[in-house]
Amino acid sequence: MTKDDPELEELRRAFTAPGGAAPRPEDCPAPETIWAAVHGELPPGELRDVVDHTVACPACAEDWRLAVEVEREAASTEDVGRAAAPLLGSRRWVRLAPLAAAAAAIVLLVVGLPLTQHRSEPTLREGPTVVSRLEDGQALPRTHCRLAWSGPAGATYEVEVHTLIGKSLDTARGLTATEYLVPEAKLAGVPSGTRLEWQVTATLPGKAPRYSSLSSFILR
Amino acid sequence: MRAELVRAVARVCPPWLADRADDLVQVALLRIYDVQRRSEGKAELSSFYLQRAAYSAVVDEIRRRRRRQEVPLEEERPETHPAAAQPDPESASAGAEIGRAIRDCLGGLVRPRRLAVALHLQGHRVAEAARLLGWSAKKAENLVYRGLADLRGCLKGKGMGR
Repeated sequence: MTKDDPELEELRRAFTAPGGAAPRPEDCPAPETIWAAVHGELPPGELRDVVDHTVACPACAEDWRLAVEVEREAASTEDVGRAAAPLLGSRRWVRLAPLAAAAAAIVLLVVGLPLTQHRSEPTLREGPTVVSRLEDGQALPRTHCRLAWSGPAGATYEVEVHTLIGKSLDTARGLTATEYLVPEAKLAGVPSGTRLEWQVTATLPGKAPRYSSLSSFILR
Repeated sequence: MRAELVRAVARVCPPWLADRADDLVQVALLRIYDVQRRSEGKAELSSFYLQRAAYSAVVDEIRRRRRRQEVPLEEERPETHPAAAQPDPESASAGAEIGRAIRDCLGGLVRPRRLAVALHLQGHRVAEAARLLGWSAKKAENLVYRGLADLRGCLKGKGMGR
């Protein structure tokens, strides 16, 4: 694991931690504006102003995070994969549990500045339709780094693998299979023990893309 | 429609507001009816629209409680994850201090880096940030990379980095 892993996780949690107050509530964008920004419905210039506001306003940063969570949930529960929902829904939370515990432990042990993680109740949620079939944080050998997921029938997929600071290592497009073997050459120079993130985007003709949750694996 | 709205509110409603979920569904419904009335029934009530209505109703309620200082602090919120460690108040306070330091440091970055890092910290992957900001993926990637380096340097200068 690189030294960036716990650091970035901690930065993300601290930046979006709930409970912050708005310095100037009268300047806060309307919820509809934040929603539009997160969904790419604002012109870039206007969107940049909203993002700038969230930097200065922890309350709006929380509102933004909420909109992102809703978007991810909604995109992953839309019209396909409902048959698998009960199983996937429960799996999702089971999968997140050790991740959250591990992240909390990392922060406690390495940084010493723990933050709690706000989570919504798992009830009334349906399973994502683009879901990793690997355990989050699973170790994968660089010689056989196979990523696998479940997704809607007939979709084409894009897989992106990147470091925790967002440096893209590999992007594969136009996949029809629900697995992908990351070429070893793409992982050259990445030290063993590094945690990498990956995400799948599913595209169906005439429909909005659906994103999986960000997943991670440890490169061996 | 009501059933879908109930699900949409459940998605966005934090646990500490769960006792208000029914009211929030009602608020969202009233807004939708109002929009329908003003559009003479021509407004399209898609799932996306219902989600937005639910989000707005919940966020408005959160903001209302913030104004009245009824929003529980991080350390006071019910822990929904039984396996996670409960931080002591000092640790939670230190976490809040990091949040303030991050905002302060981000405020000092050049704007493109600030925007890229802010979206990245919000959980957007690089490709999403690029799309939202109207940049190429390569440009977004570079700005995230350099912006995070700036942020680390700034936090270190405040005695918080490594």
